[in-house]
Amino acid sequence: MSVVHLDPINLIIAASTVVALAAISLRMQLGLSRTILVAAVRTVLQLGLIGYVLKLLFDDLHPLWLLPVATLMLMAAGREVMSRQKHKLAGFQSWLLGTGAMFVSSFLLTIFALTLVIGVEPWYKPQYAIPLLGMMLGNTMTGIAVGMDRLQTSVMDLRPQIEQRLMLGQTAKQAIQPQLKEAARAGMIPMINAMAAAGIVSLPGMMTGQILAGSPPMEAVAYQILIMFIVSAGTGFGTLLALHLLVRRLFDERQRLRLDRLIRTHQ
Amino acid sequence: MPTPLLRINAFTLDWINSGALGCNAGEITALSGDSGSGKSRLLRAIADLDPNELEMALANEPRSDMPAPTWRLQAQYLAAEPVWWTDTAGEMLSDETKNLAPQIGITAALLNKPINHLSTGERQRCALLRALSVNPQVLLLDEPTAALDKTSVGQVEALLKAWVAESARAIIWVSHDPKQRDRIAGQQWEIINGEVRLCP
Repeated sequence: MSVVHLDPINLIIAASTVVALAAISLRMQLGLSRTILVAAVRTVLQLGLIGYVLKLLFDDLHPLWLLPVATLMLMAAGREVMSRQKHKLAGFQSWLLGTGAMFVSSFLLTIFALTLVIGVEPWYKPQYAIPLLGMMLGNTMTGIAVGMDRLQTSVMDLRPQIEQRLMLGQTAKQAIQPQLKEAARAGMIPMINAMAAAGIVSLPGMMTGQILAGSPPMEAVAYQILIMFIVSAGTGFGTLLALHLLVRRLFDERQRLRLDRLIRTHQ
Repeated sequence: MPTPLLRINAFTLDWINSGALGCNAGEITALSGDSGSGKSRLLRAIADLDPNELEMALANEPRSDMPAPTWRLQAQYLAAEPVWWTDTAGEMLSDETKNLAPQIGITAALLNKPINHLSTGERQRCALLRALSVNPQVLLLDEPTAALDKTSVGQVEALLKAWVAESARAIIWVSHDPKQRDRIAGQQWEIINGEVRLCP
């Protein structure tokens, strides 16, 4: 199967559409054009960089190089999670909590997929490990960021109700259950919707990319299904773990709601 | 002198100092003090809703020996602005307290009305009934009659006086009205200059 090769000129033409969007946003005074352009430039730089790294890794670098690359990816994702919180736990805790949950969930599921599901030999083969981890981190990051932000915002807004529940003898867990449920839902529903709508409403990006790059459709579909299962599970587990840890920090040993542990971030 | 039902050791709470305090069974304690003097802060600390170092015991059982939810049921705090999340007030009341409702002007029809159709005063009285429903040993009331007309104030006072006496429970009642304090209280505490004083 032949693949149409993309030159820089093709990408520049594609970029013109984003530039046009930024121009219109500027015209409409949406305050978005700068954000759009910065995001677009980041796409080019970051993907270009990762492409280069992948090329190096695929060629002949020692597999141990996976370690710093994976660490860097995790740190970057952790930073993204932090930057999306309106209220967060003071100090280092918030970062540790979000990044920790992301680490446990996405690394475990990536290794699970590599060893037991796909059965790559050796399991850390960068051609599989890096893209899989990337998909995993990207989605888990969003789930955790949305879930944590929702829970933190709703406990700030609904403090009187949560405390009223505590006064009436509910445990911390019972008192925060409605807000926890809503936050877990907010974090996981995009993935669930993506699974439900896949192939009907949207062609998943990875599968589309694979097909465009010349893979047989059924092969691409099989990989897409696998990825969606693993990624959904990873996002879900990561979100639940982060929320669980967050709830533990929102209450103390006497089951008091401790909003003094949350600080408002500048946004 | 009998052991008080609620005994609080001498404490410092933020800006408030106090010697040992006690509330006897069957007695209402009135609590007063200027706005911002820390009355609600003190009640919340007793209910263990905010971090505090207070040491206290209910019927000789230390608070620290009890799980927090159990403690809060027994030392029931009724905030000045109670919160509801059910559709009706009735679904949160025990049968026993439903029977008390008419005594303070709350009809069965009101208990089945959507909460947000009730007036502020009706909601305040329903919240009082809800607090009684959990069958507490001590009630911590934060201006429970602030939104009520004169008739309802009298009915609430009568109900609570009877409750505290018959069941040998205790109440700490924040009130801004000196006449009300004299009507209800067996003893009076006042927070002056950051100190809880026993009024003679």
